[in-house]
Amino acid sequence: MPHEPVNLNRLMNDFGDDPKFLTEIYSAYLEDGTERTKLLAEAVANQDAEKCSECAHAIKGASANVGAERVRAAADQLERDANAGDLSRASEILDTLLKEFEEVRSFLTKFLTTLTP
Amino acid sequence: MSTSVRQKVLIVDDSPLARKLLVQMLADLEITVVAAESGEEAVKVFQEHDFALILLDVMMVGISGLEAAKNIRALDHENSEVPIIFVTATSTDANSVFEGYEAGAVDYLHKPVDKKTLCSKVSVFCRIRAQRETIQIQLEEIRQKNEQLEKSLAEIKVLQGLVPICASCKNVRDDTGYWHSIEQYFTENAQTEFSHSICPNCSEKLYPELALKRKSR
Repeated sequence: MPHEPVNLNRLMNDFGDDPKFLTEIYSAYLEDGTERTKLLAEAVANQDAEKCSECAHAIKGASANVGAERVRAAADQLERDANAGDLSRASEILDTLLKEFEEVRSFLTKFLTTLTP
Repeated sequence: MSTSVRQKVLIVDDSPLARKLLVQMLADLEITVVAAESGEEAVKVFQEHDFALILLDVMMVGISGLEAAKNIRALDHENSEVPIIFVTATSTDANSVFEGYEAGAVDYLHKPVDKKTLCSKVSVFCRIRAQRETIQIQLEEIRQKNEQLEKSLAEIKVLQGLVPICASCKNVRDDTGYWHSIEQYFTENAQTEFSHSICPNCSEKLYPELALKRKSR
């Protein structure tokens, strides 16, 4: 299902029988992501390429792990730009990333209520 | 696995989520997993355990995985050649992969990490480690047995070749030309002690009356 904000199979294949663990991981991702995206927005606002790369990298890794593909892709782009010292598109990519992250949040929040602990 | 000791694996990642995920993925294996939150902590924890394998995140806040690997390799520690697998979220270009292998990586895993791949790689390295430990134990046993054998060999004095003996008194001539009683000669040249007794023939010859008494009984 490429149109879903999160590829649930990513974790369901391995941990489908462990709703408690899935809840823990997805909740941790949302919590961590909220903090990281805030820091990323600050870094972009301050035009701090180093901080920008660091935050984007962390978001990229976490998103890859849970299967939040579109957030991962945006973070990857931001990290590459920041590493190249080019922040000209940064706020534009950030907007996309934030929008995708909010979609992931509402998708996962809904999904988590369906998990029976 | 023949060893009863659980192999230890060190996970290093600055993201709690990534650590949790890796720990859970490895939960089915009969190993002990230790997690570190940074490269600095990894170098410290490494010295407190005997790891079969390290799973090391490349990009971390503080020192990177590459630096942590270099620091571990540079340690004067008997396990500093421990296998290291780099875990990376970066789509690796040839250059950074090369840098990783230079720093001491034996393999790479890409995020998102696949559970089956992870478990088979970790199992392989743990099995190799267990086999190496078995070989070490056997080597030590062989070494100890060899030592015992050499010790015993040194204690045994072997008498070889011709021993000149007097046809009449049975004294024996040594290498330097001196004559010794056969008892003395053997006591000095072999780990042999003599206990003196009299055989029936001699007893009859020397003490005929004693021999008669014994016979009449």
